[in-house]
Amino acid sequence: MNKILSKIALLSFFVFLAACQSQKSPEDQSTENPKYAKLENKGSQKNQPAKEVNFEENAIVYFDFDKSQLKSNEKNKLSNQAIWLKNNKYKTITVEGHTDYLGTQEYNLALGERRANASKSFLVKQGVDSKKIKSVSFGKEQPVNNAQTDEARAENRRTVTVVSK
Amino acid sequence: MKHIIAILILVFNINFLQAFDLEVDILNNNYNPIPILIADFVTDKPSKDYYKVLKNNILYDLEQSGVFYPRFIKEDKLQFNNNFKLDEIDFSEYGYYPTTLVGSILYDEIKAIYIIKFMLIDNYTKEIKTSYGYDIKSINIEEDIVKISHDIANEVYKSILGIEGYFNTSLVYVGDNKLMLSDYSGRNKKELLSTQGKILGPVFSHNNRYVAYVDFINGHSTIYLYDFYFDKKIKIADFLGLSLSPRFSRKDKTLLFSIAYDGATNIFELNLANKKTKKLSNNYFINLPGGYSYDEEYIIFNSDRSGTPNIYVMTKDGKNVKRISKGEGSYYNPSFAPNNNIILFTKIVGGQFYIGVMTLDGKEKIITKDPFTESPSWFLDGRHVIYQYSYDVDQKNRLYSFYILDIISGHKQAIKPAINAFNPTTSNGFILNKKLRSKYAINNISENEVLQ
Repeated sequence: MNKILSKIALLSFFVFLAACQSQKSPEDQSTENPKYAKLENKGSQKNQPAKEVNFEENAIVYFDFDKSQLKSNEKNKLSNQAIWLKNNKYKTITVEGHTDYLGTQEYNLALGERRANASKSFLVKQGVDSKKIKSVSFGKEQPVNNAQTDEARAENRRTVTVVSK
Repeated sequence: MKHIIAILILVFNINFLQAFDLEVDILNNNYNPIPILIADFVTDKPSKDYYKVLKNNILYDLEQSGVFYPRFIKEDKLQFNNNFKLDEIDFSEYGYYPTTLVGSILYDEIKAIYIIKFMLIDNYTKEIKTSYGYDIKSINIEEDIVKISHDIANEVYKSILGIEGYFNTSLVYVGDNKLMLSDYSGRNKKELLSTQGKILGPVFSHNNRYVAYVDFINGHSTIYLYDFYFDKKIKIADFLGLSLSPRFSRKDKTLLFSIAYDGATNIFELNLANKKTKKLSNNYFINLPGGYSYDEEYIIFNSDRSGTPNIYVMTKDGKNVKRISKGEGSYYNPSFAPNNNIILFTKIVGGQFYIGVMTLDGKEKIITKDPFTESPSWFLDGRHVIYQYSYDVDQKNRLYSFYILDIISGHKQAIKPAINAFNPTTSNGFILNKKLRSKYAINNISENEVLQ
């Protein structure tokens, strides 16, 4: 019985793989938002059901004030980005570094660059080809929340991984 | 007795300035603005409207500086004409005023020029402290009148305080995302250039010919020089990563700047003649230059190598790094005063912005606290600074503008040159003013020759 089930699972997997190969870039199918694509992780092990990764949910990585060290929960997001990137070999990304409003324009551009580089380095350590990653800094020039509260500032201290079209 | 009191007031103010050179002893609440009499100028019908501009500007400059307490006075005895008899005037009649400014603006029909003359008199010794003459032939008469009024105020400032005034300083700033030029008070605006990106941190060269600025576009930045002489821009630093914070050396031979790349931001020195670069810092921290010291022996810079942004100095070869700032919070934007080693900086503690001054041994004093203060820049007198601040226009929107602050008296002057104005930088005086000075210079003139 087990042997029959295994054969069915294996057959299903090969049928699935064939369907994937018939398309140039399968991730395009699920790209409702071209900037933050929702994609499916196909899994890296045989017989393992595909794990769905919502790229949008993992695209933004947050930092502490004036820091560029990655926090453990934020590393998980980058790990998911890495899984997605390894399964979507035709895609390239840009990692944008942002800061809150405290500090000068120049200092924050440098801090944003360092944050973008920290996220990029983590992805490379996860096996992502560095040539597929561009990093830029916008410093404090593009806040997502203009309020002068601690919560708003925390929202602005981030890297955003953007999938290139 | 009146004379003694007036002399004591003057001596007190001079001592104060000397003390400031030696240590950070500023924002003294007991500072008394220096009284000065401004006598009504002699004028004629064609010059009447121009005189209003001249008078108002001189009074504005002196009063808004926070240094002077000018009193305008209409008095026949003080009319600067052929009846002007300096020896016969008893200045003590007008109160405790150490100096008096007298002058004239008259139209010469034969030469078709306006002639302006002024004289600053020491009320006690009856000596002429300074005097000049100007003639105006140009078609931009009002513009020249404004320049001359700043020049006269400047001469008064220099003559009384013994340091260069700042009223004929030009201001370059980013206004509504254009690189703008104006006089020190934000008037007489002119657009220099605009870009597709965002202009950051313009700085004047010390010879006033160039402004270095950063053009930031699509996550990449390039440093350009704007050349006033040829009215054009020159690309000067374009490297992988972000090129930031250009700072001219005092002799304009080199340009400090930083490159942020691969997670590190390091300081470089660019030789402006041969375009060779030299790396002055080499680590994985953020290092941003603030500029050279007065004698060009030291470079002041901002670095987070201790974990938070602080102020450091190093020798001009990049060695002998020493941390200067010791207080609480994060320090940014350090710069040496143009005439001594006092350091101007921005500081953030608990989300509040401050601007302060500091000595090389780290002794600091906060000089102002305004929302979102940034980009402080010295005027060439080393006593006044200009900086950017923001204010609420409604619950959601803020606008950015400038204050000029006298760091001794604490007097603040609001400057609003654009709807949104950022990153002010000051020139080393406005040298074109000298061209307006005429052969009518009256340094050694006798009383009877003043209008000849």
